[in-house]
Amino acid sequence: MTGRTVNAWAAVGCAMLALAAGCSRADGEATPAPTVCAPFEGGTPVAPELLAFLSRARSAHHAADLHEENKNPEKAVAVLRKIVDEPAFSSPPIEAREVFADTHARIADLESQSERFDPADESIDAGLEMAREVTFFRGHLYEIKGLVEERRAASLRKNGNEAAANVSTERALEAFEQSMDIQARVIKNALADAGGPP
Amino acid sequence: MTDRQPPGAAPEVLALEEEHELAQALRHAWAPTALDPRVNERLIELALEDPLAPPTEEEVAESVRLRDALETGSEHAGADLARALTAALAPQPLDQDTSKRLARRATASEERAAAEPERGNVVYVAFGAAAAVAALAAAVMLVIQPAGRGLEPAAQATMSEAVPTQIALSRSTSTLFDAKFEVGRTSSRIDRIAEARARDLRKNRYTSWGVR
Repeated sequence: MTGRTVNAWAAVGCAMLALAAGCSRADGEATPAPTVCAPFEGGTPVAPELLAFLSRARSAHHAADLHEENKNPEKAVAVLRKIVDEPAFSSPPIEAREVFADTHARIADLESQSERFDPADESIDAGLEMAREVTFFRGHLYEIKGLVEERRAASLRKNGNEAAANVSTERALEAFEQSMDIQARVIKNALADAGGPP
Repeated sequence: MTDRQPPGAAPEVLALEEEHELAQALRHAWAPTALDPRVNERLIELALEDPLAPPTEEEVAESVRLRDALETGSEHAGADLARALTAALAPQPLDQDTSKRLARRATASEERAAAEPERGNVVYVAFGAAAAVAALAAAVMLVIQPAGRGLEPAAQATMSEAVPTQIALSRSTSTLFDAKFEVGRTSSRIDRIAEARARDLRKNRYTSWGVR
């Protein structure tokens, strides 16, 4: 290698090292590395707090699976309520809201299986507050709302309250219609985003 | 050679042997070759008395210091090395104003150098002060790229523009699902969401450390 070549390589490397420390600020000061949590134009970066929440929710749902397998829906509901009842964010990111919504849907499903219809209704309402956008999450909540009303109707009918049962059946049909409408809009939006027919 | 010199200080010169070592190191950083697996194993053996042993308190504390240095950009021998290797392996493009400024300084330095007597086969080591070296290399960086890795042909994006585009932002998880939700499958949905965002967070960390 000639001295000239060595000097060229050294020059390249020196500049890269200098630029690694200082990047390209005109004043020559180092540009600080962006922190993960700093807000950027266009949104908030995925942050450790979100991952911690998701990890907790994941554990809760798997624990609920085990309780369900052991025919203990009360314990399943109790562990899921720890996710939705204990505040994790002052302003939850959208992923957290969607997980809250899905968790509320599961709680409503479990509560209604045990014929606890009022807490099931409350969970559905709370979930719909979290999932206001036209998404599968919102459509799923209406589907569960339909199931809740269907079970309520069966329970009322079993107890001889035919009129109230019919009202619940009507509500179930309305909820299923809303669910189907939302799912259709989700699919339509997805096709439009993909460049397909709107 | 890593000591910074104040502006205007006389540049330090390297002995021929040191110059050769530096050139080799820079070449390896610029265009690394695959490590022989046996050498790799030997290096691990040398570095770790017991590769499967849990970390000591000192190792944990040191890793925290390294992580903090990588996140904040503060000085740390390991972080400095990581940043230097990152810059060598995947140099970021310069913005147009900076490249022009460096080119002007390089031109001025060359004119000054032409008026001075021949110094011989030496390498100038002055990271903070040797504007000529940095400027020359900066100009070279605009047109040279290592094989298989890419600077854009028109590498004019600024760092402030480039970095945010690599950051994964919080967003709806709807795109993770292509069909309506099945009742009784909530856990698998949460699994998918958690795994996707774990990948995003990992990517953000690497980006913030400048190692991707």
